[in-house]
Amino acid sequence: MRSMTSKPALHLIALILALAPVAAWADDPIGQIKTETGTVTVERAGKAQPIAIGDHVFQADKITTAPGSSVGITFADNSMMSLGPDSQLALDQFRFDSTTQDGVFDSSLQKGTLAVKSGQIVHQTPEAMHIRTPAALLGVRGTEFVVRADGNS
Amino acid sequence: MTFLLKHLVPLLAVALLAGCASNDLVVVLPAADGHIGGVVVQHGDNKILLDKPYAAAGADAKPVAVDAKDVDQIFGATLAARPIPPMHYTLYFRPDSNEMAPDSQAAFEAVFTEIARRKASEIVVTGHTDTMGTLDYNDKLSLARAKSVSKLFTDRGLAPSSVIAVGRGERELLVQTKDQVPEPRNRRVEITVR
Repeated sequence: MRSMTSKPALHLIALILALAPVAAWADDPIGQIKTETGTVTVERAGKAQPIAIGDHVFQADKITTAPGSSVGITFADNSMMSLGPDSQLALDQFRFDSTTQDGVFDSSLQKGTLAVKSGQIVHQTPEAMHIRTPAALLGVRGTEFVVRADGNS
Repeated sequence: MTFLLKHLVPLLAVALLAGCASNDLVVVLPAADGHIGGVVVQHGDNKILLDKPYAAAGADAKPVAVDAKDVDQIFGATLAARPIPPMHYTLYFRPDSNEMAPDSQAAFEAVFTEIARRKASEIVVTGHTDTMGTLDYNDKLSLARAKSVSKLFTDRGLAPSSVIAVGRGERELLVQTKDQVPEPRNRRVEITVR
């Protein structure tokens, strides 16, 4: 039996796939570890493992720094975060379309200290980036700022 | 009633105070480019916009006084862990070719110097077009150009997984024009090292 799909059609499909704008999928990396001191772990799919400079981070990762440790991450929209000692950050939701720069970035600082510089997601859509602490909700309109969360509020 | 006043009310007051005595803090930092969009802090019905350098609020979204010294003391280790900010370069090409304009060759080389300075890096190659053609066509055209320029970097030894091609089409014009205007300065590729 002959193939149902003609050769030109296959070429067309290949061309469309090659030209399709790259949208962020749920299993795509959303950022990369750029700095690290001490002991830093990531909890992914219920399993905690060490994470090192150059490693990627993914949506739903939970990053934890031990006392005296720190980590810096740059994300796909050029936003940046760094976590201070004895801190915990959950990367709850990250979606980013690099062509339109539309996206959403929600994270939770469960305890400790965090420095943030917003990126293209917020530049395109102010307040499309949120950070939750146990006590408060932050809506980011575009800036560099620091947060401390108690962890027991 | 006396029991309530004597025991429960003080207990409640302590509980409320403990809630307010949270260590939570948000502080806006001075921006390198001077532009601060700000952060909105929300706690229940309380809401505050922090949009000045060192504007700060506690967990209850009430303003608190904080200066540079406080920030350094509380957040010094956190700020020291910030990644090196992304660096941007623009490459121009001879019309309808993958041959770089002479000025752009230096920028191309500078990208490699910047990568060498970083412990872990990715580069984003972003194609831009002018306003000739449709938005959709230009999204595709700019991505095709970005992919062909990405090859220049992987040919020079960068890992393909560290080179990200992006097409922005006519969405980010360097020189503002009306629709359907040919403008060589808008036909460019921007390289971000991050």
